[in-house]
Amino acid sequence: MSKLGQAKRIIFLKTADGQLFEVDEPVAMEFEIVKSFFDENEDAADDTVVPLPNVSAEPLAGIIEFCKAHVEFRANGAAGKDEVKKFNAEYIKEKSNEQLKELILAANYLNIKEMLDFLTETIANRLKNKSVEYVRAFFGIENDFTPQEEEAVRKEYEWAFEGVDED
Amino acid sequence: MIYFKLILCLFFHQLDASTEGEDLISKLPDDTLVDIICRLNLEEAARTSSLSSRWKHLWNFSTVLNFAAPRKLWKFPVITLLLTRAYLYTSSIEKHKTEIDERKNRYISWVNKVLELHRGSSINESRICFELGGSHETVITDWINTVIAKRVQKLELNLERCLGGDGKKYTFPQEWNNILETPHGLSGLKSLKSLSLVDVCVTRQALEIFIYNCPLLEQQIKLHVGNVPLLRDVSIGGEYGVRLKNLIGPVRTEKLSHSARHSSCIWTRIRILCDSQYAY
Repeated sequence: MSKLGQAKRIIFLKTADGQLFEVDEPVAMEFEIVKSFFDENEDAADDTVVPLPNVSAEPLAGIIEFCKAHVEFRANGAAGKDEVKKFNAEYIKEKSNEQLKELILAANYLNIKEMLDFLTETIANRLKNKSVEYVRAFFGIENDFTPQEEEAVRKEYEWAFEGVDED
Repeated sequence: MIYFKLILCLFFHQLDASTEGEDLISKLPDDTLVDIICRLNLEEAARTSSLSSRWKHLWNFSTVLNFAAPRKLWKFPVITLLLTRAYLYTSSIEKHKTEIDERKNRYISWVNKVLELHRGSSINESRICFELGGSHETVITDWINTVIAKRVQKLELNLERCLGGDGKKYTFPQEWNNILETPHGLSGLKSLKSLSLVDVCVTRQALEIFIYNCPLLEQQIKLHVGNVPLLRDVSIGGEYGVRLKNLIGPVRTEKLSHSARHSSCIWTRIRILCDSQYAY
């Protein structure tokens, strides 16, 4: 892929809403989908634009920020240290639930394991001790149970429905 | 050809690119949803079954089964705790004992039910944490075997007696070595990376099964109160000894050094903790 002696390679990514991103190669290679694209097409030209039809610009910018920081952490041997935790906490603090969902969808499509782990954990933390109604609203899940069916499920797992926080 | 493929996928995905206000999460694969469920506690996980029909059985694929007792099972009235701890023989203690036994039974049926419902082919982490003892030997052994057959990586069995329990502690039964003859048992043991046993009697035989059949069990085996007398008889040498350098137990120093002189070199590699470091 990158030829020796060459300057830092830039990967071009194009989002669903038509924005072009220029990303440093090591960061772009965090995206499994981009990596396998170049693995399968070793002779792809340097200015190949990889289309990302399932990702729009906003979540992609967020993902690049995250992956860039984590690539640097790994390079500095800081992986797993407090510095990383601090960055992650800061990173997610300002994100709304809506943004979080867009991020996880995009990270899932791009197949970025480290970020998916982080996002599933963040989402789980936001759902801790919440009611079924809250979780449904959080995800935007449509309840396709009849009232009787739902009642039956709730009854079956009665032990799970005690001591839930008010929304 | 590549470009053709790209154009195709661009075309199809463009159709659902506008996701405003939709059920975004329904686009995630089940695996990712299960990953979220794994990070919830069991009650929260089970509640997801009532979200929608898609979610109904997802929690049965969770790879983390932490049987921390639900609040109402664990929370005893102060008077029960005091009476049982003080071993007071009053007329009311019988009533409290019945109450405790009843809760133990409920815990047991809860764990049984969740394990029975579990559909995933693997369990990464399992934690059983309740005051149970020798009288529940069959059921506890069944649990251990079930999670081992599902290739558990991290197993914790904490039968700590906070109610001042009486009777025998749970001991791995004599016939437990049969697990090696079951195909799932033997291959399952190979996945075990971490083992923690609290208030469990570990026989020499059981410990040897773990040590000789769990190649990944180098991170740690934790053994707490109740294991010591039997452990003294264990001798493990050679390559297995090296792996056991993180064996942690509340071993009395003098006892240990005594046996260290008489058994193989393994004991010198064991991290020694004095009794005082364990607040039991």
